[in-house]
Amino acid sequence: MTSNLGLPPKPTLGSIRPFTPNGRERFSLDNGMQVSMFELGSAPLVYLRLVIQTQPSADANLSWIEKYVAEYMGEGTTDLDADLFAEAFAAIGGQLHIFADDTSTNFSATVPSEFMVEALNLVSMAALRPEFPESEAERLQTNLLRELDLSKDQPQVNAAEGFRKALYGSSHPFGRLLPRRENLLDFTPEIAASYSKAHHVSNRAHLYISGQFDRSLVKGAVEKNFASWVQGSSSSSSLSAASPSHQTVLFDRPGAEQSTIYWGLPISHPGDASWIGLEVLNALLGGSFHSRITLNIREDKGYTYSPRSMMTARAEDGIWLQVADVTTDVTAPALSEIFKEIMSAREAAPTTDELEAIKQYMIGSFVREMSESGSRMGHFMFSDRHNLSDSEDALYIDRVQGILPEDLRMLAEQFIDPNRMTLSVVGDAQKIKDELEKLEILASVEIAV
Amino acid sequence: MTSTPSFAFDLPVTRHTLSNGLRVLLHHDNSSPVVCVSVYYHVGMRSEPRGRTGFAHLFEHLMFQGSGQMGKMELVGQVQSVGGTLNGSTRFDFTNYWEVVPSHALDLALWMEADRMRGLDISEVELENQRDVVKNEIRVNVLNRPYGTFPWLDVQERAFDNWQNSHNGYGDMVDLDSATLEDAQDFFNRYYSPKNAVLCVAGDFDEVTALQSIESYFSDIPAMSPPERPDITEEPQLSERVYSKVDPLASRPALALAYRTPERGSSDYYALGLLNGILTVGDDSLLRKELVRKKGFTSSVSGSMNFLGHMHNAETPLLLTLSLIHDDKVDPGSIIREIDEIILSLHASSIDPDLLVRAKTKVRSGLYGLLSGSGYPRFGISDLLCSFELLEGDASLASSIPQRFDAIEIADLNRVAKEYLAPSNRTVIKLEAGAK
Repeated sequence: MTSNLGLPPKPTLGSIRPFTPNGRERFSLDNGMQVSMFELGSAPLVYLRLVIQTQPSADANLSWIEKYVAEYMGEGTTDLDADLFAEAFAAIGGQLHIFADDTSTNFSATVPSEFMVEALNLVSMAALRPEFPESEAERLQTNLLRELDLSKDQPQVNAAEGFRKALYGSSHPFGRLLPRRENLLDFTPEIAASYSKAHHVSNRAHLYISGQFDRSLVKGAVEKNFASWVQGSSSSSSLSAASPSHQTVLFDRPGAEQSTIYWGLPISHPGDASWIGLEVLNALLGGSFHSRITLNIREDKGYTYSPRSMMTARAEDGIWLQVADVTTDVTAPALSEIFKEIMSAREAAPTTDELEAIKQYMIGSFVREMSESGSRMGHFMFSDRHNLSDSEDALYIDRVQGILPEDLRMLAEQFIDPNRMTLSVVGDAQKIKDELEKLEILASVEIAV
Repeated sequence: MTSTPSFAFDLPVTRHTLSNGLRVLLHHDNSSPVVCVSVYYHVGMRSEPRGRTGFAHLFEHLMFQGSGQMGKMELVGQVQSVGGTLNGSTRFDFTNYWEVVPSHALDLALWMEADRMRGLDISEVELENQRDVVKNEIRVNVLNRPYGTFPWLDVQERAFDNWQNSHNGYGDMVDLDSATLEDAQDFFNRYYSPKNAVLCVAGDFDEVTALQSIESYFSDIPAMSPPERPDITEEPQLSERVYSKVDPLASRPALALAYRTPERGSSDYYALGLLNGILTVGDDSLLRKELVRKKGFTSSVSGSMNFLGHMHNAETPLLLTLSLIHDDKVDPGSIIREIDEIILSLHASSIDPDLLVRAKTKVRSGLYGLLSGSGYPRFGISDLLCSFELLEGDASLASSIPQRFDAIEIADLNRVAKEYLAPSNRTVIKLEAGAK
């Protein structure tokens, strides 16, 4: 089927060119608001992201409150109502995305560079002077209920929900991915306004600016628009970290063609000496296309299309997780293969060749991450959230290079212990429960309700 | 009324053609030490024959399973081991493969693409394996997911009469099961030849050295006659089509209105692109204002001219599809009436001129965004250049996109709204929620 006549031998390459990304310029306003900026990219665009740290409520009944508030903040400001605000943003080529996760409220926009000053003005209106109009309350509540129903239909959401509940417990705010319907009905514009007043304060805010822009114009516009922002209490979390829990939770989805697998456990956290090594281990195990688990359950067995492992981090903890949607009748074999790969990483160090390849992949990924405005901004946000110094960036490549084969084996042994792992599966219980029960590596199967 | 800001959108590209017909595009940008190598073959879901639905996509998977000098997945391993990343995708009119690598590895990426352009070396084992992988892709993206076929597959199946446009390009499971190694060989021979491909190098590289490498790796691949292009023309649609379907996994009803588009490259096509911006893009869009904020029928309204990309990287016919998920208590008929009223307002010469100015500014911002990439540095620009080379015959025409939008006036919007956003030119899908 091939004709190789004429193809010269495979080229030999030099080594990767030394790469030290330019740093960012940081400054803060008198009210404590932080600003970071760096120029990058060839398109005349400016990327703006305002991140406000919020304190997760210990009250699990307030699940999704941060999402409700973020939605409400898009309903107009005391300067401009929602329609006029939207038109003003569109006139400069953008729209303001306001969204929240467990620990932050975010304002994000990308506009052509010459509109940077106008964009900062509009972002400040939305963040500092939201209106929370009573007239929109019922509609926003209906939107949340609709979103809740649509989320519940997704097998991946159900699997993630089961996983989090097992790790944190249902009374912990991180243990509940989806709120109770009745809790959403309790949300009011007054609750939203009071949440915003308490959390959206200058000393919790960090504005990131990248792309093409004029630094002196940025400084003037930031001072003008954000200097009046009032300070408040700083955010701090007293929430407990995830606890490892050897559980198997099965969420029944009758007739499902695939089983959705979430299988993982708490590991260390960013800033810990183990973290970079764990990132390399993750890429080798399941976190890259050429990883062991992917080569096994996709490229050898054909059980699944998009298996992947990942690491997530919060201030309190970090999690390693393998996910996959596998054909229903191979659910148990797929889990057995993942187990084998984990055990293999714990029992034997990788060969030098395999380790070198994955190290180069990590270094190249770092270069790519630093080569685009959005991903580099995400990198700085991650560093700030976890109190990592920018000086770490210059050391990253050397740190990856310094990892030895035995280091990875020890990290796998220390952190990825199948006897401490939580498995959450969404699938057709009638077809898979008995098979799961037979797998000795798993804890006894509980049916999720 | 604000004035239209001027566009600055220059995509410098050097074009070459090798003696075997392979077109080569070079775009230089040394702002970071990475380079993107992409190969676009002019064969997509629309090209596959009856009885072999999903074959173009299955074949894309086979391209990673081994060639003359590389074993199964070796290409992936090689790219990763030099710090790169890669992917491939099957679209309506082309199939693309790309690697983003640190610039020192440019030659390796070129060499690997040249190797697989010479032919695959796979057996039944690899075919079986990727058949299973593709079936699992269809399960996770379509069969095991609410709204899995909505609106893409649902509208194209009903809005088009020409099988090349209307069939399910993801593939029927029976067709996937019957695909053979012989089919793969035939498909390769027909479509995967230099004359039917475009190679683009974008990023940090030396042009003279890169061209030498390209000559050395690609120029002796035998030239073959380019395949006949499939006939994708459609008979004119004369009346509205309305369909209902039940989605057993969905818990809320949904609605899609799909309008056939004007011809790619025409002034009307760009006017429709701006109308889509006015109707669905951004918080100021008219459908969001009316259906989301004022009436509360839905949380969002989507507008798409190409479910597998955007309006610049597909051939026509396409569909401008407006879609939304709504609540049980809302009658889809009342939503359609609201949409029709808004479209009717765009027939009038007295429409707010700021609507057009804002739409042009949003388009410009969106174009810059396309260039900025999304995890694959320099891929966005490569995609635009390759698409224009394949679909309009000249990559440098990509730089003219802003002028094409800029030339649109209110009278054009009026005309295109009347002619194309008419009920007689659309297909309506009412999805009923079956998961209760």
